[in-house]
Amino acid sequence: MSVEDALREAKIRELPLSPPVCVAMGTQVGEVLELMKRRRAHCVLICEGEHLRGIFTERDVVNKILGLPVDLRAPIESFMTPSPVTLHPEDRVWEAMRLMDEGGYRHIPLVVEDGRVAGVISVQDIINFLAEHFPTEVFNLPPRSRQVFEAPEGA
Amino acid sequence: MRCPSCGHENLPGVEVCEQCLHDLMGLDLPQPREGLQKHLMEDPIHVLPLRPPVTVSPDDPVGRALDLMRQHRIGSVLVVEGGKLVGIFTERGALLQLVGTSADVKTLRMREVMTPDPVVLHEDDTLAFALHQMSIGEFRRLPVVRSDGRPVGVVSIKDILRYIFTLCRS
Repeated sequence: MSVEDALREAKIRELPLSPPVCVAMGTQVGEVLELMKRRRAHCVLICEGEHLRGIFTERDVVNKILGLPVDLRAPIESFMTPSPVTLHPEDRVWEAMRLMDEGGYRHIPLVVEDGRVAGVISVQDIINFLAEHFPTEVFNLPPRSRQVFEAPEGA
Repeated sequence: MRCPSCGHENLPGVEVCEQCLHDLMGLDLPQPREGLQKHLMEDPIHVLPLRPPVTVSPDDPVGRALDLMRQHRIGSVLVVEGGKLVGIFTERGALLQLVGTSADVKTLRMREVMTPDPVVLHEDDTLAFALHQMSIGEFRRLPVVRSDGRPVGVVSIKDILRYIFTLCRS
């Protein structure tokens, strides 16, 4: 199958996605930052019960917090993006790509029919998917397409 | 592997033809097929809209980098000394280096928080190479440098995704 067909046909749930990092509404932003650092998370989902209320990303950490006069005891909802665009795990990877391109998002939360959080897909997941759908030898080519080696490797 | 000069069938992977000593190096490299794969394997990264580098010096305070990132709405700044790239500072680095420390961003220097000697691309590297670097290194942006180490821009994962998206749609 060509790479473009794989992209158009694959469903989001077929990707090996990492489980999302979730926090409850009302969590102090300082705690959220510590959690992101500890879990090396690119984003956290803010939930009320099992329902998604917002998203807070690395970009928000720089834009709204670091080096700014912020009270780290303030609740996360003052800093999150409320009601983010979401997808369903049965949606196509292609759709995630389209939304990321049009909306400039790097993370899209996944929710199922009853509004429960099911995960998050990131731009990195899509790049990994693309990389996997190339034959290995493609990536072992020299970095420049017309690069020629003068001598055999190791000589 | 068939020798293009004399037609002798050689074992795969040999460097010269066993019969006529014709150079066979490079013949067994995979050839790009059609469509997206061909584009990614052959198109150099300068087909992308290269973002001009936003730079700071290693002695600048971290606060300056944060201000620049907010002002230009970018996820990284390049650290340059004597015209050459010596480091990169990203949103990720900001989170990992600054959260939970009492460091003052007005006095903390870039050289203490930057990622030194980052992975770089050159202008004639292919998109496939850039994609691979981003996938294995979990990078979302890579600096592009000239052969003398001077940075000329930054390639972001989103620019590559957009290029792929446009190719697939047309």
